[in-house]
Amino acid sequence: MTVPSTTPATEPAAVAPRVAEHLNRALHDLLAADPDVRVLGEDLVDPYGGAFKITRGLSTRFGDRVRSTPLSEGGIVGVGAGLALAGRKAIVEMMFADFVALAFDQITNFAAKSTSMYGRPVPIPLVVRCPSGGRRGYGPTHSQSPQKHFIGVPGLNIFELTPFHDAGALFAEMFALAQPCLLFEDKVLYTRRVYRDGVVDDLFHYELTSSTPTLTGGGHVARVFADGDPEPDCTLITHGGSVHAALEAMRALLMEEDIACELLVPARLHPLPELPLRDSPGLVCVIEEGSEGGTWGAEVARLLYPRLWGRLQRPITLVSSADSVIPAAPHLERDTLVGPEQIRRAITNALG
Amino acid sequence: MIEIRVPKLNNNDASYLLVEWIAKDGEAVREGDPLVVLETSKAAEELAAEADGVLHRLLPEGADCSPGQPIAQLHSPNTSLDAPASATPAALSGFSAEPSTGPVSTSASVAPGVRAETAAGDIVVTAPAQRAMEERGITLDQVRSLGKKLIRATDLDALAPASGSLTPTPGPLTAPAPTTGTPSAAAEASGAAGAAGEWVREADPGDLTGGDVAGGDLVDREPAGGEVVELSRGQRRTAEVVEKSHREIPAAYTVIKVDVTDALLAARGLTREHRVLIGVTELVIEALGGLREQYPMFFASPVGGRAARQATAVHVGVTVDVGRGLFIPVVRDADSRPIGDLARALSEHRKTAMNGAFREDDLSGGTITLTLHTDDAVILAIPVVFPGQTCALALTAPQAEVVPQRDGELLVRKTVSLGLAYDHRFINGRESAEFLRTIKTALEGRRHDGTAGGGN
Repeated sequence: MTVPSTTPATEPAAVAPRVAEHLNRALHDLLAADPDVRVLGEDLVDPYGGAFKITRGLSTRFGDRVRSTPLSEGGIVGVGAGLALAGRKAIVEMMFADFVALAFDQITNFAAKSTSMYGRPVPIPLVVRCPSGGRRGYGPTHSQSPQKHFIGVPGLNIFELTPFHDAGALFAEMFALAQPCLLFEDKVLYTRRVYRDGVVDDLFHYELTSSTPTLTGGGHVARVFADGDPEPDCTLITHGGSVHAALEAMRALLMEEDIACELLVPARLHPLPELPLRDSPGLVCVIEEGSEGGTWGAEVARLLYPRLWGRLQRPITLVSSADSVIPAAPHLERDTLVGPEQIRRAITNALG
Repeated sequence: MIEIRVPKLNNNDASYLLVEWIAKDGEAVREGDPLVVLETSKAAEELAAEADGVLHRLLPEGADCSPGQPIAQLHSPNTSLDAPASATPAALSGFSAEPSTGPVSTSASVAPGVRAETAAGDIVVTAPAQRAMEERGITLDQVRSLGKKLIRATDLDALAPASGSLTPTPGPLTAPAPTTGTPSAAAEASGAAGAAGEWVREADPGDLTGGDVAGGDLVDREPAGGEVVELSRGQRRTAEVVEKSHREIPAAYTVIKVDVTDALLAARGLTREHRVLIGVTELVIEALGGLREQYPMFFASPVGGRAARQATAVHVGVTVDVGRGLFIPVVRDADSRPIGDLARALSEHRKTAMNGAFREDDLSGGTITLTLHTDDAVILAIPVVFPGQTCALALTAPQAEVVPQRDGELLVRKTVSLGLAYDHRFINGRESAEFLRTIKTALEGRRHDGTAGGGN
């Protein structure tokens, strides 16, 4: 494949790829490396290549291992789970995470249960990809973050793409679990660049903490810290889609109020991996874009309270989006969804 | 000097990649010449020079830039170039140079892409640390000796005040606005800031070369009064228009109540018939289309203050504000197109307001303006008469009211307030009321089946 050499004197390699490109590359590599992998979803096939172009080029390169399906999320996930049950590895794309509600039954009652109700463990290597999140003005039914509805389903794992984690490694981890996984991918994140080499920007660095082997496993957690790694006044925990909002809040808190925050971003949201918390984590704040009530953050807090009891000076602060449908008008959407200002306000209020 | 800022190219990306500079640094360019290629996640866009000038780049190729960020300056050809080059060390090192913040950001808002700006590009001092340095007379060189990149207030505890410099830096510190002063004065100012960690007040406004006087005047000399916020480009444009209107147009106002009970029912029928959303707004636009011959002055354009040019068609500007700034896109030819077409045109404009960018064509050529006040609590709104027009209508959302009938029965009806702000040089109160009443008659004469009844 030749690339026209109109690109200028910059070394393209110096610019980190956008998350969408990175994810697309990971899928290409995965299909090339493992002939068992199948990809299903609505309008995936080239030239359209999927609503967000994450599957661009796959059908051209891998033929009928990549298929466009009828518009029936329940049907698609059912077929994917069936493929997995029969020994293949299936990746199913929901065009928007909002539509995964249509596949709730197939995911919770068929795929997740199939791992354990046949009298012996049955591998179900199935990944359901869900483009989630708002801030694009797409309105109430194309902007949601429905992660919380899938927490606590036995046999089901929830992952989310982050700008820190390698997408290829995540697919490997999910298939190694041999259990159905939901992979949430924030749509706004698609257009941001992945972080590399431990650098976030001029002020912040990150590292991927190696996971301590626990019963649940759960991979690496990204830890973002200010230059010099100062003892944090506040430990933030969030999922991939809210990373940039959290970073903006961290920058403002540090530069304007001298409040140092550390940010932990697990790629696996449930079951939650061991978080690399300090002995004195300061204020602990869990941030998520999902709407208030029955949240992922509440689940994180439930797991952290026994562990941190006696070392917390304040209750764990939960920041989520408003208890509201998501308006389409950008200014109303901005007020509804968690953004840097809400995070900053929550933290200064809790510390004040 | 003109600052070239990154425009908002789409809705989806928070930042774009500066792929390539087409014009050379220090090169003289003409208006319209391509300067630079920016890449969004979907497409590449070329930016052209807004005016003639000598290009001074602020960002290297391969850098990310966000909407609103300055990426280059255009200097008038006769100013020396090395001055501005040294004036913005922060920008050169890849940090955005926000015009209203100093070397250390003290902005209270969390603007996207707020970057730490270090005095010399090597250390970052938080605002509380900055204040503590001023109070305790600690110099930047002392802070550098700590060997840290990030300096917080607690880091200063290790430092004694500089010997013999117990006096704090005299006077309140104000960052120089990069765009004020002659380039050389600005260079000296910022150069000094870079070297000594102190920065001076803005240059003498009498020395200004460019059109940035207002920007300079906006810089608050007394920081105690809080942060100075610059208006967005869109709001600046709005400000210019309403200032001009206020300065030049002696406006008066008439408002009437219109019963739209039947019109609303008719609109529902029309919506079904034309398969496009039709409401009172669309009915008003349609009604305006029939009024030009009877009321030419209402669609005319002032020529000086004593004459007006008559319009040859009815083009209705309609206010749209979905939270991304106020726009007045124009629905054209309301006098010759069927209501379905008019409604579709308006609907397209609304979509553009939500998702895209208006073209200059969409926003120009209006012969009358209709301002919409869709919050149902609004009962009265007095619009500003758009310069170049003689009047502007204001329409509120329908409100329910109970009307006692002669037989003692109570009738619920829906009404709107329909107002007219008019240039009193061209239109008097009597005509304004007549004009409004004609629209009222057209709306109230709407029959349920959608046809226009009554009226004239």
